Amino acid sequence: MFKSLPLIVRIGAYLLLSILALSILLPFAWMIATALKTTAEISQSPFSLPATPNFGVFAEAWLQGDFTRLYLNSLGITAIAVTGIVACCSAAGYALAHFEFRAKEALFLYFLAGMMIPPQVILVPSFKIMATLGLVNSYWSVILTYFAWVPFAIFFFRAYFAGIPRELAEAARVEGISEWDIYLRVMLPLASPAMATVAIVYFIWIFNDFMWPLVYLNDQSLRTVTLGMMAFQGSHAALMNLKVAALLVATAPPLIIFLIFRRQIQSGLVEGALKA
Amino acid sequence: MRRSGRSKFYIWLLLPAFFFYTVFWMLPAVVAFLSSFTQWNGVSLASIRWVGLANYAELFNDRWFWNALRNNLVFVAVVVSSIVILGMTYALILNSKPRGHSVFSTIFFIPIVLSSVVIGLLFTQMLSPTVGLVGPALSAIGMPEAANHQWLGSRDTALPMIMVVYIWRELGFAILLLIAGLQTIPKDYLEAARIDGATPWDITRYVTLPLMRPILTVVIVLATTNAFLLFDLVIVMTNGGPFHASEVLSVFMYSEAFLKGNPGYGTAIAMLLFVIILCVSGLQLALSGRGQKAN
Repeated sequence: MFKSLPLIVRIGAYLLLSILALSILLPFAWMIATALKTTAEISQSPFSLPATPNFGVFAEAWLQGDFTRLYLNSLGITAIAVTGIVACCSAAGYALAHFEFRAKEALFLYFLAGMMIPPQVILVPSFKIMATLGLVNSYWSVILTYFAWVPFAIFFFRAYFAGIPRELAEAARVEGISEWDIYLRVMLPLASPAMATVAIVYFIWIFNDFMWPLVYLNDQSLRTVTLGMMAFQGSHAALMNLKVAALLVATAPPLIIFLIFRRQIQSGLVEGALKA
Repeated sequence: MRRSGRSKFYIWLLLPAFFFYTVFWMLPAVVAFLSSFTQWNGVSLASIRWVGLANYAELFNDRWFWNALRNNLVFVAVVVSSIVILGMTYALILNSKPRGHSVFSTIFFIPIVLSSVVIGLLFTQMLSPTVGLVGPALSAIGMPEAANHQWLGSRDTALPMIMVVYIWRELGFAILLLIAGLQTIPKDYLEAARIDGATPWDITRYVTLPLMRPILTVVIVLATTNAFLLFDLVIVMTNGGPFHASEVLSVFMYSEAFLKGNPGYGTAIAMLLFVIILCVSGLQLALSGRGQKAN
């Protein structure tokens, strides 16, 4: 189809594509070049390649930024939160799709209503509730809040389970298999694609989240990657090359994961946005 | 109603999600609504006073509220129109499958997985006057005055810079959604139009765009809602400054509630934000409803 376009349109199209691609790649090239330079080089020759690349800067940035702790905190919180979301919401979605009971529609609408309530709206009262429970400055404050972020996951799982014929569960019941076994051994394995999608979408949201950690986690030892990065960039003690190296250390792992799981992440995000 | 009498199993399935959602999302939402009518110092519960609509009245007399609302509206207008127009352009180009399209799309989608915090910090470094990327580049092309400009520290460029970074981050996602939309258009339609002698421009204008309306609505509404909720980038890049120049509603709410100790006032701002989001979503329902009738 592209080949049938006039030459001038094709040139224009490639020009546009190249501009956007450059604008995205240039910051990364700049980060790599700047991190590997000395601070004197950075101010004297901002565009040159580093004379003698200092690869030790990444290890130094990792240590100074306390990245081991930041990544452990972020990964730990995200892993628990995502596991909880997938477990709770796959169950709720299955119930809403395969069981008949009074107030089923009302309950589904109740779960969906949360989509209209962004985190900003509940930020202040949530903080007060966590403070009352004595959970501020603990991992549980953010984890419990993420557990409550169910609307999208429930919506997604309900739609997925609705596509699985009910006769399957009926047949298992006739065989005398318990409800728990039907759910855990028949339904959940069938829903594993949906579980993967929900897990990917929530992993990206939660790992990159900033607002909840910002209000809940004041203690330095609890900092997530996003919080720790902000503190490190704001510190006057750190040198420019170290700050930029730290930015690379924070961008590289998500980037590598993205390049490996590109298809799953893309389709997960698209399905997520278009179904909801 | 087949099994309702025999099995209450569904209750166990629903209970955990229902519990967390109710206690940690819906309860705070109700408390937010109620506390927007109260005033308290945020420390002891005994200091809570019912003040009726006083917070809202104060809001309408607060020039910094109007400032934040105006900044937010300008931000939404600029970024949403840019994202939709650029997104549609790039989606159409990529969907026509030029050579190398998959490499380009991989690059375009990179910002999706990065946190806006890290992106904001990266651009803050690049925009720093003497050692960044932008300053030295401007001085290299013979604009030394512009090179020392404090992009994030000047009232007239702080918010525009945040807009640029925001578009940089969000554009890839819009392109991704729009390509997905373009691929749902049946090939026969395009083929039929082509055989009838329609030019590529005619096909885009009279076949593709009308069929893209539902998905365009989704993209516009998503972009609008997200842009109204802008928070991370502002906190990281300017903290609302200089002197409120880049303060938007979420940031205003955060600083009133957490930094200035007015949680009641903060929740009143949050409720207004909620009403705005509700209106945007309502608009989507109205638009998609009308679209279905028209078809």
